[in-house]
Amino acid sequence: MRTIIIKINQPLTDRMGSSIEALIEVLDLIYDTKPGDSLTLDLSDLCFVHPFLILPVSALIKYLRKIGVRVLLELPKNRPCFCYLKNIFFEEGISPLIHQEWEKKLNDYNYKNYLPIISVPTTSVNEIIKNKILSTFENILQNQLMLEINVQIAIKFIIGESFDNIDQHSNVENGWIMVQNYPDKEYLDVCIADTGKGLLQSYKDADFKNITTHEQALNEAINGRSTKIYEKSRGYGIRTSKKMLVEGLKGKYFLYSGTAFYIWTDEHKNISPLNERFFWPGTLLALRIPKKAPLNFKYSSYLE
Amino acid sequence: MKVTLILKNNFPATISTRNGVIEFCKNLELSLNNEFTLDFSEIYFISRSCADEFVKTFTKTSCKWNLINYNAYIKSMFDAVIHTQNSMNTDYENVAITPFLNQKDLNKFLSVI
Repeated sequence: MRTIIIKINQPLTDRMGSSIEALIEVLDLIYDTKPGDSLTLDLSDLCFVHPFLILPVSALIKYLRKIGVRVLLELPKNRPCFCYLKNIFFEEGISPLIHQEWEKKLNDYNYKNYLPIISVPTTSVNEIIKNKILSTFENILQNQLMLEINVQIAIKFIIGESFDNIDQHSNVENGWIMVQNYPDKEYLDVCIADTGKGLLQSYKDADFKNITTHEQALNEAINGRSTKIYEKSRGYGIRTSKKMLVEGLKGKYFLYSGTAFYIWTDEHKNISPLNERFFWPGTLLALRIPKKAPLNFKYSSYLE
Repeated sequence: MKVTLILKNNFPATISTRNGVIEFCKNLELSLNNEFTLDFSEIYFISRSCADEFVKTFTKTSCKWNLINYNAYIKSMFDAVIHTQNSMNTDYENVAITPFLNQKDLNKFLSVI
């Protein structure tokens, strides 16, 4: 057994990539961790966190504990950040399977600028709860933001389809979701994650023999290649979501699975393979969504 | 037999997960003799996957079906699904693969997104 201390660095800016950079540093450092090790995640220097860092860290903690790593936490010294982490239910999130009063707890966020970490069960016995939790989540988001109808429907579409992908393909007991709105900025951040089998394994399990790398799997997924090869009219979820977000709303779409990520913004569109040490065990989706749609935006133009 | 399915009894205002629809449809007697009406009162939104699952379930069994009390968003979702029901995605975009030589280059890229 080894004792490992990993410091989580404060992201340098509010840019989406800064949080991803901090996350990648963590992934690099935990790469050699083995069952039985004792790991201390040191968050003591954090002053502010975005969902793109804190949600995946929460998911990672659960993942590591599940494989037998003892994870301890050093919480932020900064008082507001410490309180924020408590308020977002870091690190376990609100889970309808643990918190009987999850609906009441969630409704406490009606007038805040964020929605806490929610651990959404993905097993089929919880279909009613799952739909209810996503519905409540979206209603509160609407109460908080008072978004115009076109943006509201687009967000519902994007969150619904993204979560459904986790539900259908991740083969893991829960997915994770969190939202942060920034009242003085023009966007909100939505992060959705799972620590399931990831895109590449999903294709492999469906016998796609020609898909052998994480970047190939990402390319197929963003093009809407469904693993349900014999069913027509499948695979529109990711394809439509990203078009609606980036072409329509002028937002940012970032999808990370295994050792590759896909980014699409106004300025960038690429898939990047990464060092094997930066392995994300599952799928991570980071969305930066403008709160105001361009004048000509109509969600229905993107439905296909 | 005509059967009206009042969805608000089984779903919240937003119908999000395909598995939710699969579970719901398991309890239906999907025979040619039955005609289903999906009543969307108090349902505000349905995801594309869920609309797709409803359409697939009914068309696979050749049951007659229709929708009532739906809003424009629900209608647009069913229209989109029906439109693509017999087609496959054919547009394919090969996105540029951009590797980074080292972590410094990666961080430089991340700093601008």
